[in-house]
Amino acid sequence: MDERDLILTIDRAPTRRRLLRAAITAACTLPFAWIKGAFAARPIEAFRAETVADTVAVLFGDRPIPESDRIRISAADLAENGSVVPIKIETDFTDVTAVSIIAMKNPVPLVAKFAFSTATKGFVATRIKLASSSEVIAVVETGSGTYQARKPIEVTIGGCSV
Amino acid sequence: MSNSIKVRIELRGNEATVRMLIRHPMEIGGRRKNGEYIAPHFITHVSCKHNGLTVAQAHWGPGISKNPYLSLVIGGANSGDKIEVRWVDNQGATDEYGTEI
Repeated sequence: MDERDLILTIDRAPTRRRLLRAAITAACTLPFAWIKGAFAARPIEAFRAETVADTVAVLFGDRPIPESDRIRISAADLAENGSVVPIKIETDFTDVTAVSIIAMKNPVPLVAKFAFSTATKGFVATRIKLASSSEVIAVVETGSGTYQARKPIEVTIGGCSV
Repeated sequence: MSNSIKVRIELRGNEATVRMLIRHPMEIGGRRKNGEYIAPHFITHVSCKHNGLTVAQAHWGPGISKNPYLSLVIGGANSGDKIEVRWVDNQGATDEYGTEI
């Protein structure tokens, strides 16, 4: 059966099957449409990206992201349990609009993106999962440019399965 | 009202450190447990409001640890101000919690 035949077969699929397919598609996409309406601008494509290059491209385009020593990542150099790695990102930039956390070797490199109003200080602390020992990148978006800082974190047991 | 969110707020000058702990499995999904497929189940959004104004929005993937912890610092805060926290997960579940500084 060549490709053309296959397409014809799919087209002739019984109505019930087609109806079922449409219903499943709707059921899968509708909740996301609703969430999107409630909270604007979730970077969905960035969470789908499987490589760091893709993640950065989706989030920041080809914007230059210089490293800055005004961003400080605090985390243990050695995390025994990769499923719970406390991490703190601090910056003295005053006009921070967003902070993104990217783990170099995670299956989904983008861990989180935090969007801040002008009232919120350049500070975020949370606990993340790391699949294996890797660098963690913090990207800080400010009114005057986008900057990054990196920190390697050693993991004894990967946190991918939790 | 809410039993999945715990919030602690510490006011220093006019900067409020808001620390929250949310009870949630944050399941990546795609693996099997006792032969049964586990569906992904994780928080996708967290929003934090200060006196009704959204001051921070978090977009999360499954890379945030189980029972997530999040800490933020909000400027221009005073004692008695209202802080509201709300989360939504990928299965459409949601919870919110409001408190005063």
